[in-house]
Amino acid sequence: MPAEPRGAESRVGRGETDFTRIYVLVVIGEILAIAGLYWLGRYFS
Amino acid sequence: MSAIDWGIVVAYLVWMVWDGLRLSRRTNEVEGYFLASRSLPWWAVGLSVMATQLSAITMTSTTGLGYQDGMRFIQFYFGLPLAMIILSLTVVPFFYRAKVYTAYEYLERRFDLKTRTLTSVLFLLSRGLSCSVIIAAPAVILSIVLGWNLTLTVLAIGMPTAIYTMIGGVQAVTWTDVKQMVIIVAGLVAAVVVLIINLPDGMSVGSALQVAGVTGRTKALDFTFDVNTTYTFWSGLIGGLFLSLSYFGCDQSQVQRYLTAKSVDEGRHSLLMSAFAKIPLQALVLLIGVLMFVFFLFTKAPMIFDDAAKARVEASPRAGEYRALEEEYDRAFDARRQAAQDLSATVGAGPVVPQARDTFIDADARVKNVRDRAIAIVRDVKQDAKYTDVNYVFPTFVVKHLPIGLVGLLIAAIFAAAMSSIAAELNSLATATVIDVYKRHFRREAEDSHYLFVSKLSTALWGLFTCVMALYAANLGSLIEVVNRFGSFFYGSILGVFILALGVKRATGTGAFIGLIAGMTTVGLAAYYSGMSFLWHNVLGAVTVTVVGLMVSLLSPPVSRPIEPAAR
Repeated sequence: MPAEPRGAESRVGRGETDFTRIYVLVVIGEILAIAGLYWLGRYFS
Repeated sequence: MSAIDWGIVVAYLVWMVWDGLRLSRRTNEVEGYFLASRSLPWWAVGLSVMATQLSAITMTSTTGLGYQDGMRFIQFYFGLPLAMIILSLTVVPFFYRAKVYTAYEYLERRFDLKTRTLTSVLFLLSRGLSCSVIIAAPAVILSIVLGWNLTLTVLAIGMPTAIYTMIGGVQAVTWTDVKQMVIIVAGLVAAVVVLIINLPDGMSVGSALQVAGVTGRTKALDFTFDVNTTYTFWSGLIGGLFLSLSYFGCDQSQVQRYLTAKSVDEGRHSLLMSAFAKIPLQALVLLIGVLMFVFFLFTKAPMIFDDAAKARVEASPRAGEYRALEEEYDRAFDARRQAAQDLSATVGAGPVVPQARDTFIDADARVKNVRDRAIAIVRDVKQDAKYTDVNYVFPTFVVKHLPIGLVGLLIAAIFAAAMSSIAAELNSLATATVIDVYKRHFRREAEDSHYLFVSKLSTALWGLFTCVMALYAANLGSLIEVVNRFGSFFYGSILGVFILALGVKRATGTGAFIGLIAGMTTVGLAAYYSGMSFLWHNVLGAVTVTVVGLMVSLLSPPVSRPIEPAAR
């Protein structure tokens, strides 16, 4: 019988991946994109 | 268009149909036909999600918006990444584990049959009509720019798509979407490269952006909070969040994409792919528009990009007035070109010189003023108060200024953008028709082969309906606006129903049903009597349905139905 998932996997559905880090990366990516667009407007004006 | 370009477009169409038909061997039962037996990898589903959203209207009108207004439109997508996170946490596991074919099927298990049927019928109405517009809009533009017959252009876009979707099912839709997405991105990158290569001697990309920036086209962010203005940071973040939640979470054309994934994880990955890629991709599309603006500063642009509109004005009593405007436009254009040359000479050497900047801004304002007056004449002659030629800028650039070979690639990319959206919509229209209407209301028990036959027949009939409607829509420009408004009336309201279903345990079917009607009525009244931007309609609809639905639910007897039903 396979072992029960441990650590991060135990907080989510059995056999499913913990997406928390990916969600954080999405938010960071969006903040960087908005910052980049802000810079674009400020620098090239 | 040259023979080589024709060859590329024809080869593309033949390849898509052949590839779609080849995949039909994998679909010999209903679950395979509609859900690919839940076997597809996340990257294919993710590309299909993006290809479905990116229609030919996006390619022509978004580049046109970039040309006319600059990067502001990018704010429209600020809510999308956050919506993808919320959907990954909520509806993806819910729908996947419930083993549903349609999002609306879940609503019957959670609420009742009437709520399921109403939401599904609203989807069929709006998507059936919007699919016609997705065919008609690029067909009108391509037929004018390329001089093709309009009926043949509609059929060239709609028929091959209907054929491979009908025979190959969702397998054909997804795998052709993957290839079409590659063609679209290759075409967009090729357009950017050509625009950069064609910058005047000595002008860098940075200088080009500096010149465009002087007119405000590089300014992407507007932090004004005004519900009557469509493209602001807040309308994009909040209104765009609700729109994305509704589109990706409640619209069958998108829900069906991630229901085909191998697992819940793969479904989540497919949505998060869009979360990462959508804003950069749209920035690339808008950048093409901004670079086209710089290109047409130094290369003579027509006063009106739409040749058909020009011909109509020249045949009208206002032809003399229009010709006089063209002479004024020529002088204004030459003055702006000189001002742009002077400005670009200064930006390469350091900070923008204020005098060169002011001269260029004045010259650009004069060109805009002449163009605005020309557009006003076209509106008067066509009796169309909302007429604009922005959708013709990119196709005109492609046909008149790209080298042989790339014209074919870009026309194929516009076809690909249209076909990828149409295929997914036809597939989802057939799914909702068969699962939510035919199987639920007319024939509840039958052999799988019977439902498979009805599914293919349904896809064919929707293909026929959308092509016929597209021919009508193509000849009635204002219908496109009507269809877009019609959709915005209930997009947020349907989201409200799903918020009640997934988030409010006490919510009942009657509450959701009455809330949905209240939400659509409120949005309709707001659209008619106020200047509220359509992005805020989604917020208004969702909030109204949630509040009214909850109030009605509290007044009606509780019904014990689990939020997350077991799979059937």
